[in-house]
Amino acid sequence: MNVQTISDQELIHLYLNGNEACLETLIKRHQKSIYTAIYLLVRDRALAEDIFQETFIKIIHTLRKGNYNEEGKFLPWAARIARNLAIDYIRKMKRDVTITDSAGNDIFSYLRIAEESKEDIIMRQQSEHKVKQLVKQLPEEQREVLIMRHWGDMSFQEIADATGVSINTALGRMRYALNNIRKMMVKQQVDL
Amino acid sequence: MRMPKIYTPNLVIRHLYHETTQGENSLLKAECLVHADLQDEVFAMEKVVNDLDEISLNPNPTSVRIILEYAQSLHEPAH
Repeated sequence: MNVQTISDQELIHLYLNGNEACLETLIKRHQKSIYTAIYLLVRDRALAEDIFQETFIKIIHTLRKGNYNEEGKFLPWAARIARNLAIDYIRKMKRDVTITDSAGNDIFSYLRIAEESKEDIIMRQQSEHKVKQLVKQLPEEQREVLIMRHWGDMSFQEIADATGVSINTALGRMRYALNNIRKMMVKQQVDL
Repeated sequence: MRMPKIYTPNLVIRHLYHETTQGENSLLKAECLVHADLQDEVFAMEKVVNDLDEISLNPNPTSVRIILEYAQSLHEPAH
């Protein structure tokens, strides 16, 4: 049996009937998309690994309980789970850190920026990560829509439903995201 | 850029991600033939989308192993 040609739905059926290899195929088929989406949301490798593991553990439990709706596509469903876990982590991290500077600003944002600068320095030495840096610089709302559509394969309607906005708002955020990346890329080339 | 009458910016975005109907695709194609600015816009956006495809990260293989070991453990009897 060539598992590489089997659909996601069939892999799930086979896994639930005892074929563990099919679970491995399913994970490896979608690991890049899901991990990339998580990483671009949380912008931290170690945290992305944790959330990646939690995502699939949750997926496994849901599959085994028989709660997976076979009418939906696997990747957008998995991406929704990953996104929700990532958002929960981000909210928890922001809530837990209450240190403020003398001006009353939450230093959490400064800490995140400091981490990114270190990462940015490393990544700048690796030219293939240029576009990744640009995505990380986008405003949160634009970044989220971009990540969910491009790597999560969620439709714009699904993204609108998940984020509580109209489809036109979701599309608008995506348009701004792509335009901002385009402008940043042009500026990078000019600066070079 | 003077926009053609039926053009909406969101149509291009939906087109880039294959959410347009065949009819909408035909209309967009026809508009691009008439309006060079719109064609340039679509090409520029397609380039950005293609560049985004370059971003591709893999998780640490250890994470995948942990997941699979966990899944395996669900079949083992509780001690």
